[in-house]
Amino acid sequence: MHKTIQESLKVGWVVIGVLAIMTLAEFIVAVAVENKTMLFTLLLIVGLLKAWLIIQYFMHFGQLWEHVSEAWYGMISDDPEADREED
Amino acid sequence: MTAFMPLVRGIIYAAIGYAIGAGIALSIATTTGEPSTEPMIVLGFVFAVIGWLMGVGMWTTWGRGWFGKSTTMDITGGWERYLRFNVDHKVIGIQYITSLVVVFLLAGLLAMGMRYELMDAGQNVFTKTTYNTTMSLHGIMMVAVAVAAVMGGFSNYVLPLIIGAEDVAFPRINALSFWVVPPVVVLLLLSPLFGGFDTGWTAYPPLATQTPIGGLLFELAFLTFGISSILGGMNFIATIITQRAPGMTWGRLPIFAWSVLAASVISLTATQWVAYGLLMIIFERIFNMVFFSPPGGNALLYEHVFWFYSHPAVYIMILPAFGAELEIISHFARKPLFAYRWVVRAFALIVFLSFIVWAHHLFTSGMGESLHGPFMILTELISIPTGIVFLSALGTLWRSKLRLKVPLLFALGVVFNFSIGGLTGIFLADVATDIALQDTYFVVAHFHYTIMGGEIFAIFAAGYYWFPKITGRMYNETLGRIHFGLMFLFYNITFLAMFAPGTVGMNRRVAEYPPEFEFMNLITSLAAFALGLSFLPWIYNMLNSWISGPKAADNPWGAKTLEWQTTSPPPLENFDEFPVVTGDAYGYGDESVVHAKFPNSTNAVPAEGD
Amino acid sequence: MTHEHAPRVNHRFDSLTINRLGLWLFLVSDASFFIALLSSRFFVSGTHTPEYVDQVLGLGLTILLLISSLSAYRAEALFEHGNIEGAKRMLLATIGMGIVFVFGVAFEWHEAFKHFPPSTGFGTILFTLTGVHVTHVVTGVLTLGFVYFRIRNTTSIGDNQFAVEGAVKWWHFVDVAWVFIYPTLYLLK
Repeated sequence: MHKTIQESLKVGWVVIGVLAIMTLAEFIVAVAVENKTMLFTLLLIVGLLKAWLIIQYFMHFGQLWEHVSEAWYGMISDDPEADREED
Repeated sequence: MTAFMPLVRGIIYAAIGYAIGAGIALSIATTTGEPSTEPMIVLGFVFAVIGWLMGVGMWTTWGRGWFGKSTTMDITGGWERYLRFNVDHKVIGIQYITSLVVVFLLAGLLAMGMRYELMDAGQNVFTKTTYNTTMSLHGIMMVAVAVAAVMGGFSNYVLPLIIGAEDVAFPRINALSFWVVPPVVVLLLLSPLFGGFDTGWTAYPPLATQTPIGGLLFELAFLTFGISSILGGMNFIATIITQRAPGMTWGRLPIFAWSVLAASVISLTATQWVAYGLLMIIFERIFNMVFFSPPGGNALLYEHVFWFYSHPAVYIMILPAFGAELEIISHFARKPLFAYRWVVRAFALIVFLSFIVWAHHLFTSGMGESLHGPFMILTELISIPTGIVFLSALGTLWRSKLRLKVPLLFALGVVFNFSIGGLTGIFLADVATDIALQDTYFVVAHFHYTIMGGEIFAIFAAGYYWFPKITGRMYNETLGRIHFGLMFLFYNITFLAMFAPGTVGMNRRVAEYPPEFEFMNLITSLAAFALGLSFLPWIYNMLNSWISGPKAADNPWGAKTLEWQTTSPPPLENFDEFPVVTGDAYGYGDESVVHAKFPNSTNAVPAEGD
Repeated sequence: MTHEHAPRVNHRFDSLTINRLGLWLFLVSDASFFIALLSSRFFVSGTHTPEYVDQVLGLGLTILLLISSLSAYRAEALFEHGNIEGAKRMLLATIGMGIVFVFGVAFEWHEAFKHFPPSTGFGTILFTLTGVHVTHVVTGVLTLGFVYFRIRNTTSIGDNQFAVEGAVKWWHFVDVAWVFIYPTLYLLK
């Protein structure tokens, strides 16, 4: 939100680049690895990383947190301000 | 007559929608192969529900906005506002409660029919199929009541009030989640006319994939009901996070709001699993897929997916019931809620554990034996947080001066009944005893003790407790006590008597049984009929008091929570002046604790006493 | 999605934040549905993938959906910075790729009927997973279409911020679901 348009668009290119590399890696891993458990684990890790990239950078999960954290800090103690100072 | 226009329009649009959906399915089927009825019903129903929603008012209050057109939202008016798409949470709460009372009474009548059949060992009025259809319908309708009466009904009405908000976070989604319920009820009531379904509400395949059309209607109804539940859960979580009054910190949140939050988390995530389970059955029926048929498929898949929802679902039912029970006990004992923070932790632990105990329903299903031990231990762990909730109730009651009004009587009934339900649950969580007891009347008695004795009693407690707030009138205390006395007595006779034939192996879901169980079943049946009659004073009391009862005070119980600090019934936006929360909700006995203030007016929150 | 109801409120959250929270909660719920879908694959046909599976098509669909996610991201970023024309172009590009994706799945189904129809274990899973996913894609395309329709004549952000953001988030969610469906259907051995 606080970025300039150029910065935002650049983030998009970087993320899609990393996603492309990871998709390629995924495919190569699937061709190369024969062990079923090993393959499953590797694919799961790559999948989780890709999902995290999309959720964090494309879907702006942090943005939600920024706004809801106010309520969240209230959960830890009765005084929202006190908790924030401790951080 | 104009009052019924939205409903009439909804029915007409639903009929048009059905024709469109069924027509699409028919035209696809005739181009690709032989046409069959089931895909037409499925697609027709989807369009019919959309038509119904648009007809009852979703189009004018919401749909037009999607196309950038103006929307109109009519939330004022008399009784006719209950008959259309209305976004006021109080209206929606009453819509839920009244329609589920009807469902509850119908399902109760079905139970009477079953008990009549079971009075003697032979087969009398029912055939095996009609008996099992009756049993299945009783099951699913009562499950609907148990899930939605407290979550949809009382939570909707009370939650925004108790946290000091003017409405829920998404009023229109709230209305949507109510208006998909009528099609569910219609489908369930239609299903006996289309051959019924004898699978029980659990709908295990392969039987569920072979039932007549009635079974398909039931599966569609259950799936649609799930959508209502998911949207409701989403709405309540967003409401509790964002709509609390200033100063309503998490540590001051009334325990009822906490319990609704906990139940909403389950409702939001787990309900999708039963949706998938039912979708698999529907796919296997209409596309001949092989989820459950060998080779490849396996009927155990359904049981895993189904219980991954349906075990957490019992906590959707019981958690808000616990919340209401503790709320009432604290206000009527005039004492702070004992171990408030531990109860909140216990709710969180129940939510967590509820997701990892589902396979205890599969001990006799042929699931891998290595899973028996872990699931037995995890299941038994749940008694720890449940015990904390119990301790909180008992600790609050301890050395208090109880005001024995009807809501408190029912809340005490919950404590008594649920302890029996909880203790008998241990035998079912334990693999060794469960293998003997599974599928017997012991199980039936157990879950009626937890859900009916626990939750339904808590719903009645909540009903009497919030009746003056909802209607603005007071119920008749004597009739209420008569209702409680009769219901408590005959409820316990009915279900205690069921344990006996259960322990010696009387199967559930049968219309005929060995004659040696006849005596206990006769007792159960007679008590069940009396239990059924015990609702008559309640119906009379509720109707009569709502129409002509004495006007209720704004705060007849002298309770400190926010819903009692406004008029009865509350104005359109709940508070004429919005409250600011300044202290604990249960500060009885301490004059310095003031739960809420109204900064611009002089009516301070009443202190101790009435 | 404006929120005209109840101007009097007793809380501090603006409607954009509340809408975001609601959408995220719904996505959590839907993710739970996809977890159920994905886990049933292992129950019905283990980790075995038949060799008839069209690897080129699978990889192509994945790349297509990832690129459409970039264009959706750009649409949102441009819109938030007031570049409505750019946002509209990017929305159209996303919708176009979405439609191509649907046709890709249709082609895949056409091929799949020959080797593993729905009455086989792997066919059951393939048709269910891609079917549920493509339903999400279609709703995503329709939502993006609605949003394009809403902003077609505007010159400023106005009250359309959540409309754009919500539709784009939904589209990214469809992408996240495919990130797991792709290896589950195509790459496991």
